[in-house]
Amino acid sequence: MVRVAGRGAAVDLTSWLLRRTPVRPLIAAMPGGTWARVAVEQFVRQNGWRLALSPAEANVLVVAGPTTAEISPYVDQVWSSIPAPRVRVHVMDGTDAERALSSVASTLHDVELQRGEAQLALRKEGLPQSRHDQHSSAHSCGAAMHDDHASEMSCGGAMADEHGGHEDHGEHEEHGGHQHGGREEHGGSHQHGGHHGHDMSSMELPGGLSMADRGADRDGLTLDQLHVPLGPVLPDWPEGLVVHTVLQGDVIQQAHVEVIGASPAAHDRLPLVARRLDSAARLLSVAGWADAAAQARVLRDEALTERSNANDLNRWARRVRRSRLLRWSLRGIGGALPRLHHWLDDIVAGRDTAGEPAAHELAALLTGAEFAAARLIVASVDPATHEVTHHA
Amino acid sequence: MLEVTPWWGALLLPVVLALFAIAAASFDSVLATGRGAVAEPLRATAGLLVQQRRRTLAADSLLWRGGAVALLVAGIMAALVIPLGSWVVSDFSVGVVWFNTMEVVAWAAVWLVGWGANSAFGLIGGYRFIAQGLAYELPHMFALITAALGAGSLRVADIVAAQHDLWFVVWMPVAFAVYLMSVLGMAFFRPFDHAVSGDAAGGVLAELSGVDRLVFVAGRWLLLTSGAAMAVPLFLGGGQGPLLPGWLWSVLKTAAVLGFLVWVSRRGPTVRMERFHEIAWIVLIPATLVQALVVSIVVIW
Amino acid sequence: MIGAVVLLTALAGVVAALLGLTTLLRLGRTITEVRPFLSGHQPSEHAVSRYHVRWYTITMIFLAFDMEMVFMYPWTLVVAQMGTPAVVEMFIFLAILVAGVWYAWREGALRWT
Repeated sequence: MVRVAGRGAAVDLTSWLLRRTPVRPLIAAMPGGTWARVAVEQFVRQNGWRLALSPAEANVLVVAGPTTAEISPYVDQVWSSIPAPRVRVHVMDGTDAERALSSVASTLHDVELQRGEAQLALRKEGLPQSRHDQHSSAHSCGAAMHDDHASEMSCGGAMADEHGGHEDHGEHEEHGGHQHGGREEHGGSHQHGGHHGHDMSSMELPGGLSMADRGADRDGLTLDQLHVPLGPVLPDWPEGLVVHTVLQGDVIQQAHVEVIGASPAAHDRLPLVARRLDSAARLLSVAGWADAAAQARVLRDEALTERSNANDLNRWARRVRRSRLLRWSLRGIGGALPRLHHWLDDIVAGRDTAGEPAAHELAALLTGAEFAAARLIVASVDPATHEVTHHA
Repeated sequence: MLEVTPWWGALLLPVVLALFAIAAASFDSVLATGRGAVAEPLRATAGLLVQQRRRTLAADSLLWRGGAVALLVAGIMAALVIPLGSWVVSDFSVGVVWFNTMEVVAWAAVWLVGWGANSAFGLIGGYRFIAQGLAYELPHMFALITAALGAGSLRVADIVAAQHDLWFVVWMPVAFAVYLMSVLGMAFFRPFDHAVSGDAAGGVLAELSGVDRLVFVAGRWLLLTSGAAMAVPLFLGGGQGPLLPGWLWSVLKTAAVLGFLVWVSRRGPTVRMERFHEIAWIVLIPATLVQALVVSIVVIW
Repeated sequence: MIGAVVLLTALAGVVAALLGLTTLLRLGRTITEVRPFLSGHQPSEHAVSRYHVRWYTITMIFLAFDMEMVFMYPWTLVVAQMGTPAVVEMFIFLAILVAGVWYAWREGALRWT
C-alpha cells in the first residue's frame, strides 16, 4: 500500500512539474513557408518561449509551411527523435499560426497525453518495424492534438528510410539507412571488425552502420570522413536547402547542394526591408549574437506591419556595424561581412541599394571551409531556393 | 584569518553555490526575454526532471553520462577552497592549485560528453572545447599565479590576508581582466560558447535530454559561479570591507562579478578559436607574463 | 581534507538521488537507439572516428608551457626569500618559451584555416 501511495505522489508531482515545463519549439521551416515561420517566431517571442536548437532540447515540433512528399520523411525522422513531452503542430501560413499554437502549451502539459507520447516515442525507435506499423501508431497519436488541424498532424510518421542518395561521393554506400529493412549494403563495415554485435539484427555493427571510412584530405593526409548532411530541418537554415558535406575533422572536403520540397509556386518572399532584416537575424544568430538577432526579428515584424521606426532601425544597424567583435569574427569568411553590410545599407535606406546579390555557387564556397565558417557562409548567402536550383 | 567550518559546512557549500547559479541563470533569462522570465531556470529544471531520457545509437553511455556528472562535481569541488567571509570549507596550503585542477576537469568532461553521444555535432563541439582550452588555460594559470605571487603563498587565506591594505585588482588589473575572460572560457559561456553553439545544433548539448541535460547544464552554471566566486578572494580582497559583515561582502562581490560576466557575455557574437588563438598566445600570454614580472619585482623590492 | 571527502560523498548522494527521483517522475522509459540529429537524415556511419585535429601543433607548444607551470607554482612560494636571482632565472626561462611561441606564430602554427 505504501508503494502505491508513493506512486500516487510521484504521479502528482510529475504532473505538477510538467505543467511548469517551458515550451521549447523546434521550427521545421518548409520551402514556401517563410510567412508561416515569421508568424511562428512572432508568436514564440510574444509568449516568452525560447527556440530549441536540436530535437533533444525541443518539446514542440512546429512545421512551418506546406509539406511535400519529398520533405516530410525528414520531418518525421526529427519528430521520432524528440523525447516526451512533445507536441507536433503544422502551421500552413501566416494566418493560422495563432490558432495552431495557442493550444500547444495545454497539450504539452497534459500528463496523460504525454505518458502516451512517451510510449510512442519508445515504440518507434530501435525496432525494425514496417512502415505499416508506424502508420497505425501515428493515428493513435493524432488524438493528442487539440485542434482542427488534426488531420495534418500525424504524430508518428514513418522513419525516413532513404534520402539524400543523390550524390555519388562515398564509394560504397547509399546515404542513410535501409537499416530497418535489414539489408546490409555497406562494403566498408567488415574491415573494422571487433565491434560487439547487436541483437537488433544480424548486423555486425550497431544500427547497421559502418565506421567512418578514410579518404584523402586537402592537406594530403588520409583521414576519417564523416557524412554530415545539413538541412532541411535545422535551425537558422534556409528553407528546403540540403548541403551534403563530407567532413574530416571540421573541414568540409566535399559539398553537394540540392533543394528539396520546393513547391512550384513559392512566391512567398517578404518585402525588401523585412527580408533583409530576416537574413541579418539569421546570420547574427549563427554568429552567436543572440541579442542582436532577436532585435532584428522584432524590427522585421515591425516592418511587416508597417510600424517601423527609423530611429530604432538606425540604432540597431549602427550597433551591428560597429561591433568590432563581429567584424573580426566575419572577416574573410566567404564574403559574409560585405554582404551583411550591404543588407544593413538596404535596411537603413529602405530600398535596394546595390541590386540583389548575385547568386553564388554555394558548393564551391563551402568546399574547404570549416564547419563554423560554412554555416556563416550559408547564412550570409541566404540563397533564395530558385537561385540554387538554377545552379545545382 | 580564515576559519575552517565544521564538516557540515561542506553540505552548505553546494546549496549556496546553487543559489548563486540559479540567480545568475534567472538574470540571464531576464536579459534574454524580459522580466517575465525570472522563473525560467526553475521551470526548465522542472521540465528536465520529467522529460524522457534518450540514448543515441551505439552511444558510449558511461562516458557520455559520466562526463556530465564529472562537470557538475568539478564545478562544485572547485569552490571547496573559496571563502565566504571568514569561513572556508577546506583551506589547503595549495588552494590555488586545487581550484586550477578542478577547473581543468571540465576539459575531459565536456569532450567526453561530446564524444560519448556518437553524434557528429557532439563530436565537433567536443573538439571545439579542447581547442578553446588550449587558448584560455595558460593565460588563466598565469593570472592565478600572479595573485599567488603577490601573497607569496598558494593558500587562499594568505592571498586574502595579503590584500588587507590594497586589493590585488588595483595593481594586477591585467591579471584580473584575463582571469574574468578565462572564467567565461572555462565555463564555455558566451562569447566562448562555441562548444555548445547554435551553428552545430547545440554541439556537445545536441543529444542530451532529461536529467542528463539537467546535470550538464547545472554543472556549467556552477562552474561559472565558482569561477566568479574565486575572483573575490584572488583579486577583490575576499570578505574585507567596511561596515558590513565579511560574509555579506563576499556575497555582494560575488554577485557583482557574476552579474557582470552574464551581462557582458551578451554583448557580441561567439568567439571562434581559429581567430582567438593568435590573440591568446601573442597578446594575452605576454601581457600576463609582464604582469607577473611587475608583481615579482614589487615582491622582491 | 575532511571537507573534500564530505562534499564528494554528498555530491555522489545528490546525483544518485537525482537519478532515482527522475526515474520515479519521468513520463516514460529512456528512448534507446535514437539516431543522432542530422537535420532529419539517417546517419551513414558512426560519428565516433579519428577526428582531424588541425591545431595539433598548438598542443605541443601548450605542453611545453604546461610543464613550465609545474615549476612556476612552487616558485611563487620562494620568490620573496630567494630574491632577484629567482625572478631573473624564471623570466629568462619564460622568455625562451615565448621566443618559441613567437617562432611558431611566425610559421603560422596558430592559424589553421
